[in-house]
Amino acid sequence: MLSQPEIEAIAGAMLAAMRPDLEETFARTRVAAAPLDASAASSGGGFATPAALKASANRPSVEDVETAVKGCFLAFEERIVKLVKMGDTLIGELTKHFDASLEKFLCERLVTRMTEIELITALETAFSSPTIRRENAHVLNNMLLSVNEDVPNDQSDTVTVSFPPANFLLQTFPTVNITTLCLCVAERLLQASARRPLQQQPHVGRGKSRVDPEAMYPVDHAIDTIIRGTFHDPRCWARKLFYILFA
Amino acid sequence: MELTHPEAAKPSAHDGADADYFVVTSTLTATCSGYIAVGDLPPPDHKTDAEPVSVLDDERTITRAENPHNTALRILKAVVRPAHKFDDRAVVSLAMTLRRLLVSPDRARLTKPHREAEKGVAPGEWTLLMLRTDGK
Repeated sequence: MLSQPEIEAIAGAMLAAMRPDLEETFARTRVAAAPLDASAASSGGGFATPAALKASANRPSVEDVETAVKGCFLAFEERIVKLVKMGDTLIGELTKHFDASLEKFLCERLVTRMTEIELITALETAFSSPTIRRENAHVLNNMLLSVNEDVPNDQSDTVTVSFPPANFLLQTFPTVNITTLCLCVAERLLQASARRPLQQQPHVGRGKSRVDPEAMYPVDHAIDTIIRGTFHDPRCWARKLFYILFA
Repeated sequence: MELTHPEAAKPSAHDGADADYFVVTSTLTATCSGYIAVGDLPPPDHKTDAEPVSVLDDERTITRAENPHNTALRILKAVVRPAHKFDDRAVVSLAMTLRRLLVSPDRARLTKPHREAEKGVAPGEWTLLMLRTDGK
């Protein structure tokens, strides 16, 4: 229960809040009831002069005050009803989406609790081979240009870059380049994923948009494994074309 | 292998396709069994050898022309698979390397051990592209 001082404080605050509306209402009422200025009437205008407005506005009647206050309260009630309806709609929509999201998120396993195979399976579903190869095309194109830019045609080696070696532990020229290429492809894939709405992102890479080669997480290693895996068949086909030159 | 048009001028990146500069002529010796005479050593007998009276008997010399630019384009398409339009400069850079590899008189890549090549950190370790003796 509110105490009397609290009720008075609330009433005072409400009065202060309504004061601009009340003053405007009084002004309109007085303007409508004010006697027309002689000059304005003679010129065809029907407006009261500022002096007349001021004089009449300073004499509000009790009925005017009652009408104005009642009008303010009615308007306030209408706003509350509209707000309640809007709030109900908003809450309904939010709850519906929240329930769907919660149901989906609860079924998702934490990355830290997934095995390597589960992680790779989830990432393979998220990043298909055609998607990886499409990104690989862009990166390989830029890498060939980069190698050609660094070293003139007479000494450059753009062939071994196109034939990724299976063993990537050795720090050879093609291995280093392929490692860089895989990281670039992984980063492009994650950036493309991060640009999608949060709910459409694969949960194993949600919110992730880059790969740090100095601090790679299990997800990064799994993506790297998948990318290298997609190179196996194309490498065989490319080698076949290469050997045709000598056969 | 030798250049078909050694005097051909180097084309620009946009004129690389069908440029004479890249054309290489390969001369191959073929037999029915696949074995050929090396120096004074005759080829070993093999069950797939043609009959002495057959027209297929004896070694045949085959000459064909290769265009490393076209091969480079096909290799790149095989590597990435999707119908991606590679930059002309990228294709030419790969074609240049292939051309240099094919006509190079240095054949050390054919005899260099893979283990030794795997330790090389410099570009141009062509031995890594060759077939290994273990078939891998």
